[in-house]
Amino acid sequence: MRAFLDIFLLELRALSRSWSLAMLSAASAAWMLAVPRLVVGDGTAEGMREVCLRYGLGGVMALVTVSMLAAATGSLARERAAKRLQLTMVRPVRYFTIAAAKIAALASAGAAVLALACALAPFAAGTAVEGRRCVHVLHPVMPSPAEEAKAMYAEYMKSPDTPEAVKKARRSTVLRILETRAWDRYETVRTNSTARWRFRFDGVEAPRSGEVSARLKFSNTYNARQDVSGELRLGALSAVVSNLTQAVLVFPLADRGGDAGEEGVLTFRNDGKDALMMRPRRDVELLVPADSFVWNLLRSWAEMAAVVTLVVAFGVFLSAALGRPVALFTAIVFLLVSEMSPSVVEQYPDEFGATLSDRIGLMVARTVADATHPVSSLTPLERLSRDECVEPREVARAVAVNVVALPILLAFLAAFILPRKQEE
Amino acid sequence: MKPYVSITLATALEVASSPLSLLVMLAAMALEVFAPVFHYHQFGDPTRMARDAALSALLTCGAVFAVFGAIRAVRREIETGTQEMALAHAVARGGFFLAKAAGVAVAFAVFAAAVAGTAVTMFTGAAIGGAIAEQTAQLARVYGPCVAVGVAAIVLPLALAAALNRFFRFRFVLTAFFIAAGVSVAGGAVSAALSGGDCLRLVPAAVLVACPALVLLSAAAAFAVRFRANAAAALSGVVLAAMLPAMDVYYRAESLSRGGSIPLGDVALAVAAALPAVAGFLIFGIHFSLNRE
Amino acid sequence: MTMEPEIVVSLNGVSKTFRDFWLRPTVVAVDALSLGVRRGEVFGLLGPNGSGKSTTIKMILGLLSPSAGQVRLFGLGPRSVAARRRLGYLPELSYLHPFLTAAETLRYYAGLCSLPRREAARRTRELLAMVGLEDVANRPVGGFSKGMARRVALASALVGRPELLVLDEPTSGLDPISTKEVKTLVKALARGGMTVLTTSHMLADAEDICDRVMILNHGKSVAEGRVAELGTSLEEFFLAKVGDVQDFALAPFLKG
Repeated sequence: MRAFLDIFLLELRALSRSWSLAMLSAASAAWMLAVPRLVVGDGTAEGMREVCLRYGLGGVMALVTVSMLAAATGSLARERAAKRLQLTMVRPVRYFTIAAAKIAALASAGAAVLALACALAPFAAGTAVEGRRCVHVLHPVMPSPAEEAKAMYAEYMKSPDTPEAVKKARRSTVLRILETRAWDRYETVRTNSTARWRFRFDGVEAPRSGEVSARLKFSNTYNARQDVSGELRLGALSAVVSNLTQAVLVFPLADRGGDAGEEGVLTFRNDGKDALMMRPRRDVELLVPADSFVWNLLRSWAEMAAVVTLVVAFGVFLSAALGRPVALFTAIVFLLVSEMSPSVVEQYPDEFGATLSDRIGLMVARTVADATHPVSSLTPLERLSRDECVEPREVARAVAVNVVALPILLAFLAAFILPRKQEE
Repeated sequence: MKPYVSITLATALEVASSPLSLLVMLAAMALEVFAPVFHYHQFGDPTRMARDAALSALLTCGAVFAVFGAIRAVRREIETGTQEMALAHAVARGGFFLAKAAGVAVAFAVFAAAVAGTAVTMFTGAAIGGAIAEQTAQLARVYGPCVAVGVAAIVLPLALAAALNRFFRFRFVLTAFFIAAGVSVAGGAVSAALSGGDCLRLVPAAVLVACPALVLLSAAAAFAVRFRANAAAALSGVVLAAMLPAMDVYYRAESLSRGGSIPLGDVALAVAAALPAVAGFLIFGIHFSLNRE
Repeated sequence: MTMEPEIVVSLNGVSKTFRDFWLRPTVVAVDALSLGVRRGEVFGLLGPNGSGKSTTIKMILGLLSPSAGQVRLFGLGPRSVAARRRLGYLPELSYLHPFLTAAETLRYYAGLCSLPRREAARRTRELLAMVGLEDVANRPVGGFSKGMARRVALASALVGRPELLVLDEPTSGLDPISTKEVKTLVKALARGGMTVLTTSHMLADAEDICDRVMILNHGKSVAEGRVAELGTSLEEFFLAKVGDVQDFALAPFLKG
């Protein structure tokens, strides 16, 4: 433990005495304060707040990630090149401890700069923090798209409408197609009929009048801007729906009397003259009060710090195996590909009719997207800026995977490589 | 003059033998080859994709190559003390700095030629693919043999350099760097001949894109005399940020749309506009060199 | 009956062949070397440049693994933490963190040796006084002269109270006074029971401090013996074993 602490402090000293940490902090603070002056919002205070949180913190996140990656890829490689590493390696210190301490130090430095940016965020956004609350976004209780895909598989493959090419495809490919369909599966709400969606309120406050809202997006196949009318009901709470289709609309639910509906079930009665279509997994949400903006900011910080930790761990691992410039270049290429891959996978779930080159490209994109899911799936800023709760269980998972499990694994791999690299 | 030529050539070889240089060059060529090939990303217009990928690769990878090449070449001489050994001979400090910068520029020219060669090949392939698509009423794709030449320019140098290293102990990175450049330029020349020279429209655009990279090169070299590598890289980043508002002068991809070309007068003007910046940074570099203790 | 001293370092038929990317042997740096360093002695590993001294030292330290044979340190593998706990190492060049002060450097290495903070502070003061650097204890070592940096490196090798001190060219870059001080120090440490394994080009220095020497040439041991029993000066002995000036490429130029 003592050795860990000393290597940890040494790395922090290296960062602070080279002025890197101070310059990074100053640049981050300057960016946070400059964003409101540089980026043009929609003219509203809320719009400016969203810009500050998304682009201000987003910019700092990018700056910290690249800077810490640069420091991480140099951490072991530069020590090795300067032959200082061998002086540490002949001491009674496990190689794992060397790598882990360096990861911890750089991750802590990155987290500290992010914390500074988060602390400045409310000032930069120019909005009051006190009393501001965020909301849990609840989705209807349904089988997961993967489960639904599995359930549909046999029937889909037997169907005469299923194309032959799909029938010949691998099971995993077909399941991927069905999973994408499950996400986008529409439910038709005919005129004068009622749609029902069950919600689970585990770990959140029971919905109270005036505090819970439904967020819906209505579509129909005929007209992009058509009137919708009907009634939403959740237990004793209700709201009247009267608006246009194709927009995301938020309806506050309040106690307006009338028959109480089923507890935990949101219903929508379509009183309009046309059938409506909704994707329950995407278009139906309940917004339930959560805790304060400050707590949400804190959880967002934790998620961002978790991402930085994993990036740093990857950089230190590469640094154990490669020289600094090559490690940095490799890390940046990985980062760019991992940022691009999820969108490719989302857009192109199948490879039917694709040429060999396309199939190879999709295979690479999918592999990278799967491998980098722990990092690429964490995007707290969008939710933070919309006052949606960054859920604690998601933060806990991010910390467990990105801060503990994967860095430990990468530190072990670095420790395995370190003595072998000395042979060169 | 001879010592300066020696320093320039030695620096060019030093930059070319860095693994990062080879990686950046191959990454740029890979971007040029694969971006227009993947059907999903070309939006049915591989010519546009080939053009954009080529200019983007030259701009981004060129900036990386120029900055890291210059910082490494200048800084290493200072940190390892080899600069003092050179200056102990009849070599002026300012001249030494200029020769180092020129050496990096020579390596950059090889890099740019390689990237431009692959760009011309892929641009030709996209144009041929477009013509075939018009005749067959199918979706346009890059012409296969051109893709094969592009891929060969990436893979063949690695294989050849490995073989030369295995049997004749040639230096792998340096050999691969020059073979890649050679294969790429040869492929580009054959493609240009096949296409009747139409694809050479890309060359003025590539020259324009190389201008900011040369400004960055001279800035990075100058900063590296005075500051450590990280600080020099950060300051070069600031120079890049300062150039971004004027980047549309140098990044003229749209001018090549629908068979368009960039007038040579525009190229000359843009190059003339970049020259004072290059000269300014080189003067700074000489000043830093003369006052360095 | 006299007890045989414990063997602290043992090499048994150790070879080290460096290979290229294709795994072809490029250099046989050490060839079937066997040696044993006994507790409390000062053992010198001598030889011309490229004779395999540094490679041997690096294998003993666990920085390189042997291609053949076995290296044991206190009866353990050289990469085991338990063996490294009893080891101090002074490399050929000082390799210090330039942004740390002399005191911070010693405290850092004391921490790596798991010394408690209070003891680390005391040991730091003690060692800085020993190498005559108390006055500059709080100055970054990046600004130190080569000799001062060497003293900091020597002090950091001793900070964990090692049982075995490995010195790679300990007097390189030192002026005559500092060289004498280092030699006196090594002798004092040996008298205190510390085992010292040293390499040196300076035959006179080695003669002054070593109890026993081994001469390496082209990775092989060409001679081994107690300095006191050589019957001649170490320099003459060395040249007899390794080759006289005629053997060097410089000879034709010297002969004019």
